[in-house]
Parts: sequence; C-alpha cells; structure tokens
Amino acid sequence: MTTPKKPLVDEAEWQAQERGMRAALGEASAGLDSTAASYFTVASAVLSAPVSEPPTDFAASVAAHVAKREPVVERVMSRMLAAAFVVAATATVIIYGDAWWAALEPWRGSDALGWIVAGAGCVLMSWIPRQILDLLGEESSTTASRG
Amino acid sequence: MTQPPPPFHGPIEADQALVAAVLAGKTGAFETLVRNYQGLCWHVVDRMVRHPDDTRELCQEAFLRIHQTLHQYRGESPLKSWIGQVAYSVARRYLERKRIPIAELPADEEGTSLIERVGDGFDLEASVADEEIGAHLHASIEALPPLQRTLLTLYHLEEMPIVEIARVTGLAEGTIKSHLFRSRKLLRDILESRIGVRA
Repeated sequence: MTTPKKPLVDEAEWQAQERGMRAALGEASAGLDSTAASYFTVASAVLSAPVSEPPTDFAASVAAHVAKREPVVERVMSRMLAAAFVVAATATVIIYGDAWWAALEPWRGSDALGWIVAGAGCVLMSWIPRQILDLLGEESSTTASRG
Repeated sequence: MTQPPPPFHGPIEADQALVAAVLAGKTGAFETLVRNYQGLCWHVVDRMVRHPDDTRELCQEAFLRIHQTLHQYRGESPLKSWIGQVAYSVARRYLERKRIPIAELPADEEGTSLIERVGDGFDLEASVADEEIGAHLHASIEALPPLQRTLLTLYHLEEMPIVEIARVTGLAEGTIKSHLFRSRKLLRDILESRIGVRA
C-alpha cells in the first residue's frame, strides 16, 4: 500500500507567508499570528537585502553603444550580401553561359534580336553596378551621377 | 478654456508606443526604454550572477539583444515581462557557461548545508539583536542558489505576480510557487534557529 504523497506547498503556511509579505510591503500588519510574524521578518529581510543599482550613465552608454554599432552591423551585412550576389552571378554565368549562348544560336543572325540583346545588356550593365554600389553604402556617389 | 484630458494609455499601450518610437528610430526612445527597465534587468542579472563587473556587461548584452529583436515584441504581454525574460536568459546562459548550478540542491541537503554555510565566520558578538538577525538573513539570501534568489527578488522586490514570473523564467507556475514556498520556509527555519541560539 502506498502512502499519500505530501503536497509540495502547505497552503496554510503559504497563506502565512503571503500575509507576512503583504505586511512587509506596508499593508496592515496588526493581528499577525506568530507564523505570519516570522514571515514578516523574512519578507522584510528580502526587501532590505543589499541590491546594487545600475550606474547613472548606464542608459546613455547603452544607447550610445547601439547607435555606434547599428550602421556597422548593417554595412557588414550589406557587403556580405553584395559579395555573395556577385559570386553567385559569376558562377551562374560560368556554368550556364555556354548553354545560353548556344540556345541563342538560331537567332543570332537576326538584326532585331541583336539590338534587343544589346539594349538589354546596356540596361543590365547600368543597373547592376548601381545596385551593388547602393548595397555597398555608396549611395552618395550614385545620386551624384544621376543628378 | 480647459485643455481636454490626454488619451488614457494603459501600461501595454504605453509599451507599444515606446516600442514603435524605438523601431521608428526616434531620437532618445531607446535610451528611455533602457532607463525605464534598467532596474529590473539589473536586479535579475545581479541576483543571478552576483558579480558587479559581469552584471554591467550582461545587462548591456541583454539590452543589445532587446534592441535587435524588438520588432518581435507583439504587445501581448507587458514589456516588463519580455525584458525580464531576456535578462534572465542572458544571466542563465552565463551561469551555465561557468558551470554554476542555477537551481537548488535536494530539499534534505539544502537546509543543513545552507545553515552551515551561513553560520561559518559570522560574528555574533559584533552585532546587536535585530541587526544580527537581519544580517544573518541577508547572508542566508545571498547563500541561496541563483534561481531561488532571483524568484524572491522578482516576487518581493519587483512585486511581479507568479504568472508573470512564469513568463520571465519559462518555469511552470506551480514550480515557482514551490520554490518560493521552500525558500521562505528555509529562511524562516534559519531565523528561528538564530532566535534559538540567542535565547
């Protein structure tokens, strides 16, 4: 036969702890029984235990740290993304370039297609570097060139 | 002519407004957020790690993480709980790295060992009665394991309800209540053993 398990928290004693805590927090402390009174002493000790406080300049120094750090993180991430894009684009052209060129073989003699390909090439050649420069944080130089 | 009263902002609305200001990059908003919650963060980390230099560094780390992940705050619970949760997790990871046990020893061992630890080197002659009891209890609180010390601080000092402490620590409410009950009972036993010694 198993004996009933003792509950982890004795509810009557828990209530005494709570009365002691409320009294220590400034609520009515009159009429505390001896158990609650000893918990009042315990709760008062918890409240009066030495606690260190943050230095007065803490908030300002954390905010300054964040302000200083944020653009650096963004810049590094952007550069990593730009580098990854360039590597991926180059690898794609190296791997599939021949196949693309071969696929265009039947139309390569046509004048219209030649002009379309040349036009698309010009657009890409002006658009891609601008995107890369933007990503690298060189917005000012591209703005100047647009103006 | 009287000015109309300002619109009422409850704590959650105020939190959401502050978070929106930080996310919009409003000058000084993040510093205000840190100033509002640095006490809570400091108390949690300090109670867990008990090392002043590391406390500053860990609190800074907690606020940097808060800044990076603030867009994830959905305003479903008070910002206080969310910040407390980050502070607690930063401090807990520090203790784990240092291989410092966070929670208590088994109940039977704990009472004896804590009383013995606190009793060692305590100068009874040097203290007057109440101060002696207070100092002894303070030493006993210091000697509690980090988790119990932090739960007492959140419940008594920060006056956080158990449900909110559960959000901060990720522990079940029953577990928190059990820890609080046993810690306070242990401190009472120590108090009564002290009174017994004096009598």
